[in-house]
This record gives sequence, structure tokens and C-alpha cells, in this order.
Amino acid sequence: MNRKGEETSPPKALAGIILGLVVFVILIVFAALKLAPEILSNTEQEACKVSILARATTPESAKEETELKCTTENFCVSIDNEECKKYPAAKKVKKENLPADPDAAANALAALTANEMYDCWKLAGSGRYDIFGNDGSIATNLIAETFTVEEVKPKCIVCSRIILSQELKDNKQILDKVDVNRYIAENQAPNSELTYLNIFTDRQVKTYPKEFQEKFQAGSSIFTDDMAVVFVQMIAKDQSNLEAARDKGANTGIAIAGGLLSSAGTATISVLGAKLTAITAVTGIISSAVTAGISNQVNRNVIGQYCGKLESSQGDKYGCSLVTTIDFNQKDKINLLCNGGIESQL
Amino acid sequence: MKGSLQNNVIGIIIAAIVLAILIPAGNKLYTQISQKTPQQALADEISSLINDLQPGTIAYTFKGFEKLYDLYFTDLSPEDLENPEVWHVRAWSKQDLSKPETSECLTTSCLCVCKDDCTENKFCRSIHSDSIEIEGHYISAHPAQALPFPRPAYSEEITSDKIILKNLLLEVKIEKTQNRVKMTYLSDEYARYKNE
Repeated sequence: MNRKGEETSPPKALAGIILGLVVFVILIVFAALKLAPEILSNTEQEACKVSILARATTPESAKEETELKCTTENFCVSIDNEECKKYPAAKKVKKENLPADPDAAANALAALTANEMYDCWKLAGSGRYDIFGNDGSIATNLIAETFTVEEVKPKCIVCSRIILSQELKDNKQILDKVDVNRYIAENQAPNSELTYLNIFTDRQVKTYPKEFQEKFQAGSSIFTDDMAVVFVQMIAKDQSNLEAARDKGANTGIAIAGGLLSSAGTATISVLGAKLTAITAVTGIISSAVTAGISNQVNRNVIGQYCGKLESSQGDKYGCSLVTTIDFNQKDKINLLCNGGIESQL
Repeated sequence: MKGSLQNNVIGIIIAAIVLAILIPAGNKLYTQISQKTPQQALADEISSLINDLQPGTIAYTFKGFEKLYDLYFTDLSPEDLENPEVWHVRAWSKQDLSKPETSECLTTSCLCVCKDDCTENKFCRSIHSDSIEIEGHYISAHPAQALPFPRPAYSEEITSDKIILKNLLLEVKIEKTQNRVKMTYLSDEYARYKNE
């Protein structure tokens, strides 16, 4: 009873199945790519992580189109559940109420800072992903070619912001005891057998050399009640450009980002014992010049840094990454440090 | 048999082309429906901050999204300020006749995050105050020039009714009285220039 038009020949059925499968696979891939951050992530941090991974694996030409879904995490640290009035009312803020005991409170504050730095570092693939790529501008191409130190335009993600409440800001009993540097040297990072310091220094440093603390604290103090944990990355064309940048910096006094950083901190990092590449000089300088802390005692926090080959969809790429704490009150300095742009949302 | 296979192959190719068109369109639609753009989010954030503010003065920090840092470490050029492609913040008082034609600005003062001179691409929000003013201070640096008209390098102060949304941290001072709101922005370069 089959009429001609209703006949379904085996090749036609097979083609229909193949077509159906192709459509299904394309839709699944589309849904997975597009909805991945929302589906896979329970938190904004996970969405950020997924988007960073997507950026790192996206070809250079499409990097700009792959949006980073990173939003700064806002913390209000207080005693007695006090509000942090610096945040606008509409901001989503996580409250951290410190324990009453000053020692426990100081430890909790150091732990919060260390954990935020660690999370930021891990989020960005420990500095090994080519996250920002080349924005395609003539200026950036020139910079990537030459990596002249004076012209470096690093890009940033502001991972978190930690504000102290007014009452805590005035509590010297607690703040005098906060020692983030000690905390990261003596405590293991979450789900790791390594200390924070091991991880931040790519396992190069297990403990601070004796003279480190003295030298690190000898510089000028930056105390802040409003601290940002910032990931910074710079891209170079190849290893030799990094070397050239290092040599240039060593001889002339590095002036990255319009004179923000002086060469005063280079010694700090050589004391620290990390490999002296361009970034170690740079990070030393940054730590010396702008790194801020919330403690009255040791108020410049150690930084995590990596300098070398980056994981990139574009073949061999070299760059330098670091995570550090910066005084959020000094916006002009953050803008100078991140003068290639801040890619996260506040 | 051969003809049927050919037809099917053609069908698959057409389906693939259609999908190649549909996927980006679907992608764009999904983005538009599911997420606020940074411009929308910023317009919401600033307007609600101003409307909820008690009379007084505050400093407020936000982040822009325009990549305007090519070639120079200097500030914006006058061309940047007039560039219709650059996103910026502008505001109009209640009685201002040049307000954009949008429902949010119809009967009240309003603040817009916009480009194209706030004609097409704009996200406007009502401001519950009779008057609102924006004062942006910038520095335009001009390199030295030899011939045909020799002149030394110089810097020029520019005052504008726009806040250009550079992809960096921007801090504005917001002063609010009973009937008036004033937003003042000093670019980093302007502040440094003034401090020198």
C-alpha cells in the first residue's frame, strides 16, 4: 500500500539519522560552551574560572569576544558584626565577623588574606594561562615585540576587596598581631600538602631566609583598611624579550607603568631566593612600592609570581603573572599598575 | 539511488549553513536576554546610588570598559572626548530641553550611559532631583612638533560634561543637596598634573 511519496529508502533514513545527530551534537556543543559557566558553577568564582579557561584556550582572534565572567568578591571584616560603610548599599558583600580573642582574630584576618590571594592565584591557573592575550592594537603588538620595560601594559583582574570596619580599623590589639607573611609560610594551602609560600613561589621557597623579614620590613609602610587582591599579567613575545627586559631593568632602574615602581625592591626578591627573571625584579619592585597590608606590624604582603612560558592556544607565548595585595584607596596606582586595563567587574 | 544520496548531501550542507547562521544569532539573543550588559549594570548602579543618597558628599569608585590606552601614557585626547564610539556617562537636568528622547528622561532629570551622542546606544535612568551636573576634568598632552609649525610639547586642561568610561578604576565625587546633584571626576593624569 506504500505510495511513492511515502517511501523511505534506507540511505534516506540513514542520512536523516546523520543529519539529526549532527544537529544534536552542534546543539550540545553550543549549549555546553555557552551555558558552561552557569551550569557548571555553583559560585561566581567557578564561573570566573571557567571563563578564564575558555579565554586561555580560545584562539587569539576570538579572545576579545570571550568575555571574562569575573566579579570582584567584596568582604567586610568586622568585630561585633559592624557594617562597612564604604561599600554602596547595593553591593553584594560577604561579612566576616572575627572572633573575640585578639590572637584568634589576627589569625583569621591573616587566613582570609592568604586564602583570597591563593584563590586568585589558582583561579588564574597559577599564572600559567595566557588569559588576556593580545588586544590586537598596534601599541600592544609593538609592546609584545619589544617588551621595553617602560612600555609594559599589564592587565589585571581584581579578585577581591577586603574592607575593615571602622571599629576594627581602630583596634590595634588585633591589627598589631596580623602577620600574613608568617601565615603563608607556616600554613598549608587548602587541599594541598604545600604551604601558601611554596605555591606562590613555584616551590622555590620553603622558608624565608633569615635576612628576608628584616629587609622586607625595612621599606616604607603601607597600611590600609581597604585592600584589593589583584592578579596581574604581562605578555612578551619570547623568552629573550623577558631576559632583555630584566637586563634593561637591572641597568637602568625599572620604571614600569609610568614611573610607579622604583628599582628599590629588586634586592628583596633576590633575598627571597626566586629565579631572577624579569618578573622577579618586577614583583620585587611591586612588593616594595605598592603592596599593602592590613596589619600594623608587617604591612607588606608577599606576592605570588610566575614568569615563563604560558599555556596558550597561540603556540609559544611568554609572560609574567603575579598576585598581590594593593591599597584600594590608591586608585591612581592601581590604574598605573593595570594600565592595560582591568578586565573583571567591580 | 545516486540522486537520492546527492539530495541528502545537499540537504546536510544546507542544514549546516542554516545552523551556522542560527547559532550566532541564538548566542546573541541568549546574551541579550540572560545578562545585563556592563553598560546597563553601571547605569543601574550609579542611578540607584544617587537616588538613595542622603544630602552630603561621597566618593564612589566604579570601573569603565573602554580600551583607550593605545600608544600614549597620556590622558584622553580631545578626539576621544568627541568620539561617538566611546562609551561615557552624561546627565541632564529636569528642565533641560536637550534631554534624550526616552521615557526615563521624560519628566525627570536623568543620567545615561551612552555613546553616539546618546541618540541610539543609551541606557538612561531617572534621577530624583531637579538638577544634575557632571564635571569631568582631563589632560590632553600634545607632543612637540618641528616643522611646519614648530611648537614645544604642552599639556592642555579639558573640562567636559562627560565621564569617559576607560577600562580602569574611576572615582567620582558625588555632592547631593535637596534639589541638586553634582558629579565631579578628575582623571588620574589631571590629578597628577595638578599636583606637580
